[in-house]
Amino acid sequence: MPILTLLILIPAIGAILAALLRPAQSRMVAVVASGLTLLVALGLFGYTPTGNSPFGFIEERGWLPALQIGYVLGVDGPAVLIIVLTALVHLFSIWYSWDRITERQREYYALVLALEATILGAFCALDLILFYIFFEACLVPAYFLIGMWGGRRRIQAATKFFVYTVVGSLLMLASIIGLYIATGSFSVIEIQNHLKTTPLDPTIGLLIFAGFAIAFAVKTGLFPFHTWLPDTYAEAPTAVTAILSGVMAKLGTFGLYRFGIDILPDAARQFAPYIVALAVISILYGAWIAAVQRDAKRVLAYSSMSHLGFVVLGLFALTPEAMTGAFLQMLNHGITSAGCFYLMGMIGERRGSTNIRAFGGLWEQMPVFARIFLILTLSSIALPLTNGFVGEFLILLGSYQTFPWATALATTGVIFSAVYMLWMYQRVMYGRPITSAVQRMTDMNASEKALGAVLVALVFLLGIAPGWFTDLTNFAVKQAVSKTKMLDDLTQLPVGAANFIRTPESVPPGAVQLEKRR
Amino acid sequence: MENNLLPWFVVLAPLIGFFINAFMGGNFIPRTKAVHHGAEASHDTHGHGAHTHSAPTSGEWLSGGIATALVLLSFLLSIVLYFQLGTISGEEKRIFSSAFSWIPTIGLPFRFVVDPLSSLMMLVITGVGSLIHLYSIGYMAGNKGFTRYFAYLNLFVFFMLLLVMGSNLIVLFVGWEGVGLASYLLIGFDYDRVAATNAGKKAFIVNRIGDAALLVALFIIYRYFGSFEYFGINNMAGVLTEQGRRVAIENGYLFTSDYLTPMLLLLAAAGKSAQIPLYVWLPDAMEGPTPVSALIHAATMVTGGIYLICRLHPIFLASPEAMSVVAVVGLTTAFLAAVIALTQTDIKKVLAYSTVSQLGYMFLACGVGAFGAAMFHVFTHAFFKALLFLGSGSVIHAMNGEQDMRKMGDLSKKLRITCATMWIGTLAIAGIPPLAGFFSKDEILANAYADASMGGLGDSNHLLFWFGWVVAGLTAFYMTRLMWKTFYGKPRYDNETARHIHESPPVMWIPLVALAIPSVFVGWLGGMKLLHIESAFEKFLEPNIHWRKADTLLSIPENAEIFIVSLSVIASIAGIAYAWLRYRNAKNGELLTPEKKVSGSGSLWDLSYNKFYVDEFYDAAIVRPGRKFANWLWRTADARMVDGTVNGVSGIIASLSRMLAGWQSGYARNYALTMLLGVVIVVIGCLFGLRMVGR
Repeated sequence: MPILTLLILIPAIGAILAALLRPAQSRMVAVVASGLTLLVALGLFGYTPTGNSPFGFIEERGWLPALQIGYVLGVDGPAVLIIVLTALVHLFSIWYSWDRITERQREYYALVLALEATILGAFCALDLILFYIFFEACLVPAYFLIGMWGGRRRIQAATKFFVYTVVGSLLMLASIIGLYIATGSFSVIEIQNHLKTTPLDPTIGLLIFAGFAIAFAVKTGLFPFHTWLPDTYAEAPTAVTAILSGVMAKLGTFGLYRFGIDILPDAARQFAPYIVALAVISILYGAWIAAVQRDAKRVLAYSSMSHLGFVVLGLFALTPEAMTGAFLQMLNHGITSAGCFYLMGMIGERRGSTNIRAFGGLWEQMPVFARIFLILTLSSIALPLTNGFVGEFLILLGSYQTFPWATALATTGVIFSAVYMLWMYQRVMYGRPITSAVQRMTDMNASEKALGAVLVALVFLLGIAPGWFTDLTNFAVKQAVSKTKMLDDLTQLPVGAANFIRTPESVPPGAVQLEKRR
Repeated sequence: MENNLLPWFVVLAPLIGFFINAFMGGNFIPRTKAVHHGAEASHDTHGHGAHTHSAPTSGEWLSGGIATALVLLSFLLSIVLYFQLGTISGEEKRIFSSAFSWIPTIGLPFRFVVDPLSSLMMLVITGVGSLIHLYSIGYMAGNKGFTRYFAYLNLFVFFMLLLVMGSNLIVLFVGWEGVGLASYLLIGFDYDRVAATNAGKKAFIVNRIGDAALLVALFIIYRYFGSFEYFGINNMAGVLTEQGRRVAIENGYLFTSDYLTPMLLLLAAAGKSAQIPLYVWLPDAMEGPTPVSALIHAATMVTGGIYLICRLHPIFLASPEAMSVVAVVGLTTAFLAAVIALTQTDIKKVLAYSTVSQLGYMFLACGVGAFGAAMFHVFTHAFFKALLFLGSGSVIHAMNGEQDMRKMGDLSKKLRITCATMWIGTLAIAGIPPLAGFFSKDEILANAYADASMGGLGDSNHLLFWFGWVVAGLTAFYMTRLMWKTFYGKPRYDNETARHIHESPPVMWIPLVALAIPSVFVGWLGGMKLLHIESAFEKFLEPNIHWRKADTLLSIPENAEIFIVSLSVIASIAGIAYAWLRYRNAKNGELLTPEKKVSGSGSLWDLSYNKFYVDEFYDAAIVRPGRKFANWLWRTADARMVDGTVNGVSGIIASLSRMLAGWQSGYARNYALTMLLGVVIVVIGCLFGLRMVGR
């Protein structure tokens, strides 16, 4: 069964149905479609690598043979994780929107489902042109969602978001064409095979890499390509912000892995120090600016930038621990960040503002909300046993092996994340409900409580049993890391990395006697 | 012993208690009543803790009783494990729990180890912990957050047990951060008081600085040792094993990392155990309810840093320089905090600085290699400092929430049990023989003396010893001052308060008595070389850590030992006697007249009273510039420079495109639409193309 095609088709068909049916039915369609998509996505947990290739569930059809553009879909472990996350967050967002979107419901749900279909398509695509089309196409529904249901300054925000990403994508298009000229193919698998035997000219490799890197850096919101991010996140409707930060930003980090590291390992290694530097700047810069924001949504936006800095650091440290951590952290950040935005949305609409000063005393006023928000806050500051910890820890642990000083700097990020999150929590939740506007605020309703409970459950599931998820990525990580030959540059292999690269299961850490490597 | 399930039950019992009170707490105590009490509580406090004088209701007994019983269960299981440990013969006395694979990427299990060191900590945490739980039932009665309080307190015990029982550094780290969370929640327990929530936040953030250092230390350890397990797993190298050390050296651990690692660990320990430069959170932490101060901020959590150092002592011993730094940090903190404690007027603040000072002693012991002595002081200090805090809680309870000693006095007749037990605590901490504190403090001073004579930090002048000795005298002085100002002299409160004063109920004074007993007797466990009493404590901890550093073990001659003992007793007695005499003649319980205090600005009194302006210094040097910088980043760097560049570039392009494409609308949504159409056309074209090719 072409499971990946199904994955893309369900929300796509849902989108069409939602657009055609009566408004009241459209949200039902949206729930059903996104629920089905999640079920199919969960089926992907059965993924195993096929032989020597990390890709599974491959579907390959000719599409434009004349141009050698194929309809090729396939997933590796990291893609499985990110696809499940995509399906989850879309379901959550539709759940959240259920009784909140009252105007133009048909258009809204159709666009959300279209967004889901295109994002899923991008995560599954193993053909560069196919990827490009999905990557670009998902901008359209996102643009309309922001522009039509957003806040006061939604048009500016949407435009900025759109133009920014499109400019990045053009550079990517150039890189795609460059790769095609160099290798004669658009297929990821074929390109990889081709490059194994005939490596690229290093300069050309760097140029191609740079095109991809900039496009994805924009999408991720990596410093200094991040300035679209706070405006967009603050102006977009809550459910869409959750998708943007929880899922769409991962198109950037995932792209950096799929088309940067995995296709151009040599260039990735050479660029790694610079990208790591940008990642560390993002971590600290985002955290510092988050600490002085007045608006809760903007705190979360800059916090998101800071957390994605960790993901990028983890990817470009090019060690197995860090990369595993990066994939786990994509999942974690998706849940925590989306969750925080939903919660902010809930109190924002009750209060009519997300200005931090507008709150205070919610602990007494909304006790259930207070506890759920506390758990998500703790998850955001990476407290152990919540999901945030394992990912962040693996990232830093792994990147310390190759970039010790940058990592030491990045580690101070854990201090600042506590600063801004606890500061915000204190200002919003503690104190007494003095103003009448706050006194009118009611606690979460049943649907909101249920959404909160699911989020909390995921926070602890990922924190306590991360192995269920990281096991999926082992194969891909091992291949990607060894291709970059980053560890070869070290005079001495870190003990843990050595074990992982050689025999991940059989030998526990500390057992391998180390050899000096040239 | 492997795969023992018992340690899991020790840990899970308080966690179950947490869940019961967190999820079912509302059923124990009717909400309307709680609200009524809450309102009442907030009126009659002076901002510290909530005090009502209702006896605990049946619902409160149930809630607090469950929490207490589960910690007590942990205590009993810890005793069972203690005896199991005793049955193990041979050098390696260790019980490993069964494990689950937590982070498979680095082969990390979630597993516990019970060895003498962790067993000792478990007994202290759960033993003292259950007494403080019991006390809290009385102290917190009528508080609107009663069940929340017990949920947090159980949560704390859970994390603290993880900290000391983890078989690897990551489980330790879970506990390490977890107790920080519990501490944050309990300090800010009165969520509607800004001072309390600020203090909680400060504690968490200052601790996070230490945590970041600990993380980097962990990365270094992983880099060189390749493992986080203390004793290895499946016969593989561990951080503390000889094999692990060999692996690390082969990996190039020596020369930089061997110094850097213990220094980072020291910073982490300084955060948790409130040492210079990170001690500033602990005095503020007194905003929490007093039993919390007793359990978390005196007896258990703050000794986490000492535990870390003792646990990883091979890493510290590998670097003599780092050891010296530990000793100096400890001694400086001990001295500074003792000086500050001399002039504080808040009864809890005095005890808080006293705790910082005593923790400094423990660091001093670690720094001179007497890890056993450090743990012994952890052990004795847990009893008498918990006792003192609970006693002060009893006073505050009686005084209707008043914490200022200037408004107390003459309470000894009204609070007989509190006064008597607090005297025991005072004499114990002052080091009067044969109470517990005498033995442990004497042991530390003797080791400091020996270290200097061995050509350690100071020189033959025994500087470490002499400074430590002065601190002993200061301790005796400020504790006597506290007792005098609280319990003797003329009453300095109004009549209304006077009518209210009463001895605490049994649920509160029973724990006081229960803590007073060990405060008197446990010192003997440390033995007395002069009387040829062997140290049971030393023997017990021998498999983990040494009582004294091997090379100083035999180096203290008997006459030096007599000299040290007599000097430290003299310091204690002198401190007590001097304080007693001065305060007996003092007017209004004040040694200095207000005029003298004013004219003495910049004097030692002024510096001490204002805590050497350290908080103000941090605020001016770090917090405010940091905030300014962040604001500059946001408003200038981000908005003008980064975004400005982007806008400038796009502006140029826009004007270019206006020239080239004046016919276009300029609305991005039209562009989007165009693009969408383009995609559709391409797709349709492709499909047709496919069909053509197909033919």
